[in-house]
Amino acid sequence: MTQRPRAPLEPALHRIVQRVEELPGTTTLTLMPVEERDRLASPCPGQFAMLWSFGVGEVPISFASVGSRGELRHTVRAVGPVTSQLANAEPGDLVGARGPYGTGWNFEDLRGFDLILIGGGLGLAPLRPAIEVIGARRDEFNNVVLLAGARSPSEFLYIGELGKLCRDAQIEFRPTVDHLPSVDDLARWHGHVGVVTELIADAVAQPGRTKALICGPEIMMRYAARELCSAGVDAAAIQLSLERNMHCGIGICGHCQLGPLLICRDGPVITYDVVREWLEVTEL
Amino acid sequence: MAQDHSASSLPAVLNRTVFDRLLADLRAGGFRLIGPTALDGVIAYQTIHSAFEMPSGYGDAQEAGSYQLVDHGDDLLFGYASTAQSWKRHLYPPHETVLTARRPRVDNHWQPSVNAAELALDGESEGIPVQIRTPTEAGQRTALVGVRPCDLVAIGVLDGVLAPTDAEGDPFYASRRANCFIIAVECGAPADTCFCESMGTGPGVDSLPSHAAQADIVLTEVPGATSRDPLPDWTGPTQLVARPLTPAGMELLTSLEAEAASEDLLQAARQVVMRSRKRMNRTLAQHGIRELLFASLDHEAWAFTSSRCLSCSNCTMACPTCFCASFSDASSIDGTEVRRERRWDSCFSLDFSYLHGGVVRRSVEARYRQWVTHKLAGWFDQFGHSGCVGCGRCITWCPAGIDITEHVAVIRSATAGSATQLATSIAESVGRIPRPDVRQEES
Repeated sequence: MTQRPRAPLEPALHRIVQRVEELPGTTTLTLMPVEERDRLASPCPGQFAMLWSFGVGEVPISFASVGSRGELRHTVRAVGPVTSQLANAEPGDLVGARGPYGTGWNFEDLRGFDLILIGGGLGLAPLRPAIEVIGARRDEFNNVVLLAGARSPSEFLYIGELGKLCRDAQIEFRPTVDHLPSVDDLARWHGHVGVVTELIADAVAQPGRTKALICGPEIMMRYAARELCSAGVDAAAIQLSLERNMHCGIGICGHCQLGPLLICRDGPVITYDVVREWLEVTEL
Repeated sequence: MAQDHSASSLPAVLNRTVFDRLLADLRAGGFRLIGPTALDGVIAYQTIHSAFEMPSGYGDAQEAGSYQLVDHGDDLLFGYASTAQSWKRHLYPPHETVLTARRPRVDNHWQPSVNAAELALDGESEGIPVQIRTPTEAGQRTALVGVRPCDLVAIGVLDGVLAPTDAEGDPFYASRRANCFIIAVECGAPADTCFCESMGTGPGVDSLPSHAAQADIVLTEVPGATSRDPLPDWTGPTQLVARPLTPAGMELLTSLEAEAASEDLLQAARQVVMRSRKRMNRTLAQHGIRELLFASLDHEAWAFTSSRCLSCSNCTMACPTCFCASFSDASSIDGTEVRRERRWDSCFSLDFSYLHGGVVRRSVEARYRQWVTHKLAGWFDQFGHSGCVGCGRCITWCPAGIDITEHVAVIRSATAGSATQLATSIAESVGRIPRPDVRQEES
């Protein structure tokens, strides 16, 4: 069926068909277009959609999976009014979605290389579809490792499925947590303890043949990119998924600027050689 | 009765009566007219109906932090520089409903979870419990009367952001622009705050940058011998010289059957522009400005200049190209209707750079730096040209009299950044702000 032309800022109605509570306050929603003709164009991993809660507003949320048939999957953490409304929505509820917007992970650039995926906290969400794509196209890449971090085991996004996802995709999975706050955690956690950047130097086997995808808190990405560079990885070989206040998604509202960049349009995925100088300036 | 409507009668001379006939013809053709008026102590672009509503004889005196409407008592229609508000206000209104949605009331439940089949909704979306409507802009044909060259460029700059040819944009803006007829007027009265000459955006319409909006007709007002500010070589009365720049403009002008301008008058029209060029008081040197500013993000001038900044966002409101906006949803009290409003926003607002967990640009210094570097540097990366057109509005309307040309000059001259030099420069700048009591005496 042909898609109905929509005004640039007009959301397409979607119905929540599945809701999975990943962590307290963090929910993965699966959305289906109410009408087939309102289906969004197929997103690329790393891109984002503007999700709309009726009467509350819109937020930019990355695609946590790039399923077929117009199905959208997003992991939402309840932080502000819109994300709270979305994270607490139930199957059957209607939400709006428009997109996909921005740049996705550049997989073509990764072919034939060792890959290091580095994710922290909710930053694992945009990496999740990258794991799916890498798994589906596994022959094109050499060794692939996922360095995934969270504050504590109970705040580890997708902890139940990441191991299996990585096994299926033949990706080495190295989880780490900043600390183990409880006795239970001490008993159960078998991964590394410390910040994710501590795992980087070990993961780089042949720096000239290594590319990296990073998503997480900005400070983590800054240190991770620096660490990769000091291990000999080229800045242009590092893709970051940046976050700014993406408000319109199409570069007409001005909120998401970082130096000369409009993150909604030039990003969110940008190589480190392009953004390094801007990330180093405070309050830019 | 056959008439020769060839271009030989062009450029045309329009006296006040003929000019008013031009406006009447536009109205008869279905155009709403927006033009200058003297309103609330400033020149403001408003809906007008004839040339006789325009501010004949009025001028302005503008300085950093100061605007005064002046009654010259002569017969010029365009004897003033940049207006208080730009055309942005009409093409991209300060707030506008961009979306409405409604859903049925369901037992006070906030989330719609009713059986869609039970609902009787009108129109195409039958069966869907939320309806979304994007307001369709009627696209009323609008004639912009008296657009200065700098503002022609400003409209072109907005076009690049809001109506790009290769990407999504703002459909409301695009619709308004598609229905515009533009009567430009070359500038014969630059203010103290103007610097279009150094930006290549005026004072004439010739050799404007390629992204400037296309005017249909361009006027040059030649002041008569009895006006306040006559030309040495023109002894005739005040006249408007009109040149068509598009087929639509040509058609309209030839249909007026106005007299052709004499060679003397055309020469005088050229002198008007040349004189304005010479009278330009400020400059903002453009060579290497992007690199200069991006290499100077840690320059101490940002702290010095922004120490006076009130972060009031007047500059961004007055700026004819500042496009930043916020979208917010407002719902009816029973939760069944929602309107999404687009409102002008400003990079000077604290929450403009809000990101979960905090604000990126917390200090006024960072926000002032964002505005200046975006306008003069980042704009090149984002849209291929500068975001500044040299209209000087930000200087005039800054309550602290902050002068962007001076700030950049300080960065350019003192790349090493001598604190004394900066302090002196700022003290001089502050000294130029007229005190209220002085203004009282003058008026």
